[in-house]
Amino acid sequence: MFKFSPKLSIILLAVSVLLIFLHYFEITTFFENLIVKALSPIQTFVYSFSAKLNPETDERCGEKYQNLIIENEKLKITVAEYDSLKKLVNLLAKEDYKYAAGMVLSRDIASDYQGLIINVGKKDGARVGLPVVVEDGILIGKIFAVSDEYSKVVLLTDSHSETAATINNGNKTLGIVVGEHGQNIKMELIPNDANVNVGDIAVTSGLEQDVPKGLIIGEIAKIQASSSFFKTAYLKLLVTLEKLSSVAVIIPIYD
Amino acid sequence: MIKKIFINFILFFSIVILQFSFVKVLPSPVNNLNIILTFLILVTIINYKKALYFAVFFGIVSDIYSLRGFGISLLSYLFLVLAVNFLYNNVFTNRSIISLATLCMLGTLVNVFSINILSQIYFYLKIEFFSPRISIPLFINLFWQIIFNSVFLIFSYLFLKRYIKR
Repeated sequence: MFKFSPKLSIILLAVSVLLIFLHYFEITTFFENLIVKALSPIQTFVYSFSAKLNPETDERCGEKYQNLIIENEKLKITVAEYDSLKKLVNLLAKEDYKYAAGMVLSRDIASDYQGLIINVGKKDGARVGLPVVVEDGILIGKIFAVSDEYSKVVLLTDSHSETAATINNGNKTLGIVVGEHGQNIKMELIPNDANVNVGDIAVTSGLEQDVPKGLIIGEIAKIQASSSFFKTAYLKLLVTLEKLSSVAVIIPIYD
Repeated sequence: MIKKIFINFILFFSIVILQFSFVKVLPSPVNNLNIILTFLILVTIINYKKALYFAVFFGIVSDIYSLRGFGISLLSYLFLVLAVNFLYNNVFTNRSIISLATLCMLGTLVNVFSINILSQIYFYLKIEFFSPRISIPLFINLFWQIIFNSVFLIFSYLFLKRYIKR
């Protein structure tokens, strides 16, 4: 027998549409923040555990040994997070940036979307367009949407990501770094006569509002002519985006 | 009653944390597994009304943790439950494992299709700034998602059939 429950289906569909409207009028923001805040401690731990745990654990080992491995991994995660945050604090203090450090809560991955949800929000000074970095000032993406308790970050590898960049080779060659299918990044619009070599480092150019000059983006791995005027440099990321757990949002001093 | 609500509550948040903070971080192609989607298909064939409620709650949380416009996951999960319920009661009536796998495949297709259609609508309504892009990785990810979802659903179904009913 076909059980459709049209009344319930219509009611829930109407409730959903109402919820969508309420979200865009920022009426549900409090509850959304509450959910993220409540889940944040467990998510941070599970995310770090998933990112750092070696999947090649020997299954032949006994339970006691496995528990020791898990305990060891938990300690490694704590130490790695501490080291990473310490590096960030040192870098940002030295460069006199304002910053807000935070942890990754989850990833949003699809063929055309590559993003992170981090526990840095409006309350910490985050806003749309601000750059997000790791460890030694390596850019990983920019804030795309922000709420009081959390932010959504579009990674450099996302097909919609665009960053004004320059090659750190003394010639100040300009270009735009874009994501490619969520897999790689490439620097486009490099003039054909520009002296660019494999191994050169691409950094942010400082031409974008809110993005400071000199944040490391990646190393040139391959150069290809894309038209009669421009060439494209394929970049190798200097961090493993899948393993990120602690990040920092760089906030302009005038904010 | 309170015990049941509490169990559902724990189950709901456990799946949310597993999906967004564990599965998504796993290496590709395993990260294509969608536990929420398989759970919704499973609940739909057991208890349709309950699946509708779960679809709303999972949709809200998925939208919070997604870069896509708010409401896309919510509506796509509701469409998924409606489509799976229709197919289960009208097309795949022999209740075999093959039917279940096919149902999962169609459910995944409905979900991906509705997400892309809704993203396009959101883009034209200027709610979303990014238009969905149809590319080869989309189809590769879809292929892996169908495989992993089907395997996960079949194992979950067999597990429930064997242990929960006793």
